Amino acid sequence: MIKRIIYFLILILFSQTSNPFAANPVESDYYQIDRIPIPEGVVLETSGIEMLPNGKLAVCGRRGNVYVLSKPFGKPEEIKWTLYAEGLHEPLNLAFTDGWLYCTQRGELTRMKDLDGDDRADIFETVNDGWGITGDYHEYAFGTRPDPNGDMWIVLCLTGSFSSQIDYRGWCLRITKEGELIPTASGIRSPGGIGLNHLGEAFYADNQGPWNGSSSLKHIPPGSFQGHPGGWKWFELNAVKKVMKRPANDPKSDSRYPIERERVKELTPPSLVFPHGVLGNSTSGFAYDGNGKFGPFKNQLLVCDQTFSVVNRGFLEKVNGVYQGAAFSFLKGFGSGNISAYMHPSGTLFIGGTDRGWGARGGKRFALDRVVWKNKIPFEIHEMRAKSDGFELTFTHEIDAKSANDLESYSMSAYTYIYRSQYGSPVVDKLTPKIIGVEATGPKTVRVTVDKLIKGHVHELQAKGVRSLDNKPILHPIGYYTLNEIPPAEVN
Amino acid sequence: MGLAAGITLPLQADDDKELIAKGKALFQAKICFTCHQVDPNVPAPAGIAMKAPKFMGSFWGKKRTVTIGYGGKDAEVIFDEKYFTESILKPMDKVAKEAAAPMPPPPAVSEEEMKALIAYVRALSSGTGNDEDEGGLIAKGKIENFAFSAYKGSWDKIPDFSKLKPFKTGKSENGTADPGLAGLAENFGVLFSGQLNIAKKGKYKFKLGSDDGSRLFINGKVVVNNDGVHGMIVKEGEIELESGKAELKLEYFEKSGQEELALDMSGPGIKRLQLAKQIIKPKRSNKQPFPTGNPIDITKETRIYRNFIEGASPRGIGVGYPEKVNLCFDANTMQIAMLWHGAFIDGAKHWNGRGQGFQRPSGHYLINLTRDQPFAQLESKETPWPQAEGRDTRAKGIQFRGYSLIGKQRNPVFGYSIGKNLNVVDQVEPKAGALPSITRNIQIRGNGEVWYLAAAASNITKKDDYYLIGDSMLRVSFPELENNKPWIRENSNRNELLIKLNVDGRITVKQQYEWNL
Repeated sequence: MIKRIIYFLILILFSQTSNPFAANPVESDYYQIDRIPIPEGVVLETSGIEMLPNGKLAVCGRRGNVYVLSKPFGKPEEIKWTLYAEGLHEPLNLAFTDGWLYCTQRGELTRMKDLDGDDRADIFETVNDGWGITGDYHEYAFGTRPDPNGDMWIVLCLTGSFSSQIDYRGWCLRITKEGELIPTASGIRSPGGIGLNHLGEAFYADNQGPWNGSSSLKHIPPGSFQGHPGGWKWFELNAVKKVMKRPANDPKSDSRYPIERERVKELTPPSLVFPHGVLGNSTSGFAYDGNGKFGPFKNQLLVCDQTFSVVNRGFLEKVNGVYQGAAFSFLKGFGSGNISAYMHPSGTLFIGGTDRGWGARGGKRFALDRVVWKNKIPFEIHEMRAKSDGFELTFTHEIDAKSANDLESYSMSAYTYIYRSQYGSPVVDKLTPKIIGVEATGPKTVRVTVDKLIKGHVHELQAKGVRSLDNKPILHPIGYYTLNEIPPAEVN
Repeated sequence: MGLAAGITLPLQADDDKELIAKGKALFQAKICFTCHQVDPNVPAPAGIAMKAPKFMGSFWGKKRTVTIGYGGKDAEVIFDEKYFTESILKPMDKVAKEAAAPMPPPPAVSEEEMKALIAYVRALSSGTGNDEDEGGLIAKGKIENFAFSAYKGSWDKIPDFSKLKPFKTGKSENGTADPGLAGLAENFGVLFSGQLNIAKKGKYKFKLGSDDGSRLFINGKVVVNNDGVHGMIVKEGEIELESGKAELKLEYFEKSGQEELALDMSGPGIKRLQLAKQIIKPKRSNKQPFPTGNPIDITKETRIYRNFIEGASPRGIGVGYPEKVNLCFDANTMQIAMLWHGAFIDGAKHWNGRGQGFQRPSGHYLINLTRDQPFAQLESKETPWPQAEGRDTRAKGIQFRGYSLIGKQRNPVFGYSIGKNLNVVDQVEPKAGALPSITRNIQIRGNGEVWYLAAAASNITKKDDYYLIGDSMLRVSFPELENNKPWIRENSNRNELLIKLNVDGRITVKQQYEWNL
């Protein structure tokens, strides 16, 4: 017995201190992913997730079905599924507001209601169907919850993801509470999701393709141009003329974002590039934790990737009025191709997926996963902020100063993509900014100084050598910062 | 084959080949082929839903059960010249018992044509030796001492099964190489083994088809290598075999998507022996196959299918009623674009892959109606009706409002508004029966004058209380219409059935849609 206690104590000692042989932490030490079993015979290619005021979870799928799940926080196998609605046209989001469950179908924004309390919708009202569809499967429509103004934002994929053959393909629209359509932004290519951040600003995911070198998350200021000019002919519509003007210049192909932003003032660069083939292949829906109940990443965006079956993490900041920031790996191990994300205020994240038509690594044809935080904070780069001469990193734990102050702990590369009409882009203009200084400026903060920053480039910072005070490596030590703007030097 | 040939049809020899060929052409021209399957490898899509009798195997001169009138009493008939002729001329009189619906009357068949059709269909009955296609003849074979081992894993090539541990092993009496034995749909492999009984020494040919990869060994030698991740691909190989037992080893794996395995063997004394689950189908023509596999079955409740439906705009709303009648409401034009009987629709086209294209209705007796918007203001009696020119045309001045599901059956009630002053509630009452029908109740509230387009076709004629709509199977009537007399006008090179409505508060139009067979 005593032997065992001693052994146990040694074990604790080693795991708590500097045992170099202790197993490195893994994601599942901090987050638990539960697969919610989907009842036999149910095919739910989960494309939208929303909480209902009665404590049940509504989920919709690409086949047009909506289910409500009772006790969604209980044991996964005890969750009861009821068919709430069916026959909808490939709905890609759900949002509950004002007593109605809203959903964006291919051809319209619809709201549904269960009038007699049997968990089945009895009424389906067309809120707005003011955009066109031709019958092309690529003409997807994604929508948001209402923004602080009560408007719902909708992004419409191009026809065949290449051209705009009917009104508003390749546009972002807002639908007001009254059901009025407001043309909001042009330049959309092939969205994978749209949502609001904690301030109610809209961001959408656009996938690699023409005029889009790598999948990315983009901020949508009203009146902006998001990169693909395929839908510009709709500037001729009266409804558009009332609120927006066609940009004075057309974008030029085979260019770069910073150059074209000079020429086309409305062009909004991607806020977060998820380097193609590195962090994912197909950016899609996202959620955020507004309460800090899902760990240390309050208000950061948790962004799905369909192909990789992962959730990445995005830290955003506004520099010179433009959103930009750093993307990090966050969680893997989801069942199918993640496209929908919903964060419950209690800090439970629901992720839905499908791999139909576009394969996914998860392996399941469709899935609904539930993620909870295990109340342990992983050692991560919490924030990565751009500075005039480099970056400032803050960590989720106190750092070991020796490793943090060691230049050898870091490396950096910078690269970008061609802004062009052809499909996608190779990685180009690769450079290696030299890290000329690193300094732990606080218990959790490091300033990284480089010899040059390149506007428009993704700056990939690896901090593999940095250890926490308790000698843990960083769980995901690479930050991919999309540097649209270089901040001015601070005046001390 | 063989047995039936001896006892039937002394007449068949007299049937001249030319006549059979003519009958075969007529079988196409008179669209018999869309419902009556004649080749095991070429399904007749419309016939699947209607459960139309197949002209395969031995049927000529055989007894069959029919009902006297559709849904009437059972009776027995002999499938012969007399019955065949009667069935074509009066399809409603004796209806094959297994059929889901009577046959719609085909285009007129002359006496000459009838002879040719008889010759052809009789020749289809087995034993008549009409079809020289060896592909059509197949017998079920057996792998003796059959055993299998199933493995889990995701591969791009056939793995070395000898280094893997099976999660399932077993034997099967029927000796058929069936990937289903693994009990998995994705990411698995199966190794089949057993022996083949070789009666005669000689060269044997093996055709191996699979989705994904497969490889066949006979007596330890690779005979067919069909490795890799791919759709159904057929490869073949040959081997000399001594009489006695030949050792068979068949490797198969499936990554994702469809799983299929077909193995046919032929050789001395063996025309074509099926050794695996599937059969090798002859090469398809370029025609888009009719996708099936996800039928939306109707039991007690009405079901909705909003999607790209062939015959409607991209805003089609399919409605399948338990009364065995279905419609497609077009939310671009607010018109009932199609009506059909029997099976509703199949989700297969939209629920597999990326879901490209428009799916056709599944059932039978499909009627395509005008998709032109149902309501419009006409300045004069000569003003042309606003037509749905393209698939994407939307109704002018009419806004779709959605639908409610009402009653136990949850039938949809569609709502739309005309201009600012008129609101429409558009509800269909389905009626069951031998030939189900619908009544469309259109209730308009508000104030104003508006024209209603009840039908449009090349030709509309009034007969008793009905209006016959062009060459279609449709007839419409207005059971409760008193003051507002329908008017057939000729305009835009067609006939239009119009009703002028003066709405003062509320008005209801009842329109019956029936099949005129």
